[in-house]
Amino acid sequence: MDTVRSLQHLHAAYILTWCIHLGYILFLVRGFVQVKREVEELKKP
Amino acid sequence: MKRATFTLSAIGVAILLSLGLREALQVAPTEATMGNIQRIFYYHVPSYATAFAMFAVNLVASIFYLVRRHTPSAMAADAVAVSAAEIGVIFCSVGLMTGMLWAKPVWGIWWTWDARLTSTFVLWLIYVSYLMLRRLSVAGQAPTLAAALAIFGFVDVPIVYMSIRWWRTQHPQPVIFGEQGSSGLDPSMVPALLINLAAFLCYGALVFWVRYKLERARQELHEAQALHDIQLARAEAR
Repeated sequence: MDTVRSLQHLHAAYILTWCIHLGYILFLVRGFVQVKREVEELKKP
Repeated sequence: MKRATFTLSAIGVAILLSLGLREALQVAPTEATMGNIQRIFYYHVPSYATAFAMFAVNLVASIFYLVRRHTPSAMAADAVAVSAAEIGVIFCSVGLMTGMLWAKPVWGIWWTWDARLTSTFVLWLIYVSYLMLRRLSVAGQAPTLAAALAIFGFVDVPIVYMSIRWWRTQHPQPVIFGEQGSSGLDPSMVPALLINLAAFLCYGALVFWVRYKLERARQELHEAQALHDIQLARAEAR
């Protein structure tokens, strides 16, 4: 049953899973940076 | 959670995920009928388990918010609800994506509209619409409406879980918790599943905590901005 294509699908599933999770972590980091920037702007006189 | 505790937790989760990856790709035996493509199972099932756990957290937080929406703790419940829904959608997306990548070599098709796949897609749509309602609505009633939607949306979770028991589907019958508690999973595959299940649940909990902190920071920022705007308006009125 193991064809080259099925192995490609297996690797794609694992790689895409971590791409989605890493992308989401970057999205969260960007959110924190944005909040920090807005807080600093609010503190300006 | 203190910074040191968080760092230690993150290291622990990274180790658990690495162990899970090793178990799934190297230690677990190759399935006789499907071959190596069956190893997607070790990410597919834990992804859905984590998504369902997050949707359950979202349900509890939404009920709490509706019951106590006039108290100070409501804002924290709202932050829990939106954080859990967002992470649930991420894990549900991973489940759908890994399912499609598994289906193509095994079934010959990426997708079929059977009861399991359709109900899962509907579940994903419900929580994506929940997040869109939160993001796009400008009215102050958005958290209340979203909480009501979340309660009705969660009804689909048991339907997704039971769909392969209630209807004949292209999706395989239950491998774990099958009829009369039986398991179709070979005992040598169980450790890989359990380690990945634990790893995904711990990772989900950790990301949930980070997302919750971000939501609370946003809520505090919005309150500070509102206060700032009131002070400016008063100063201008004088």
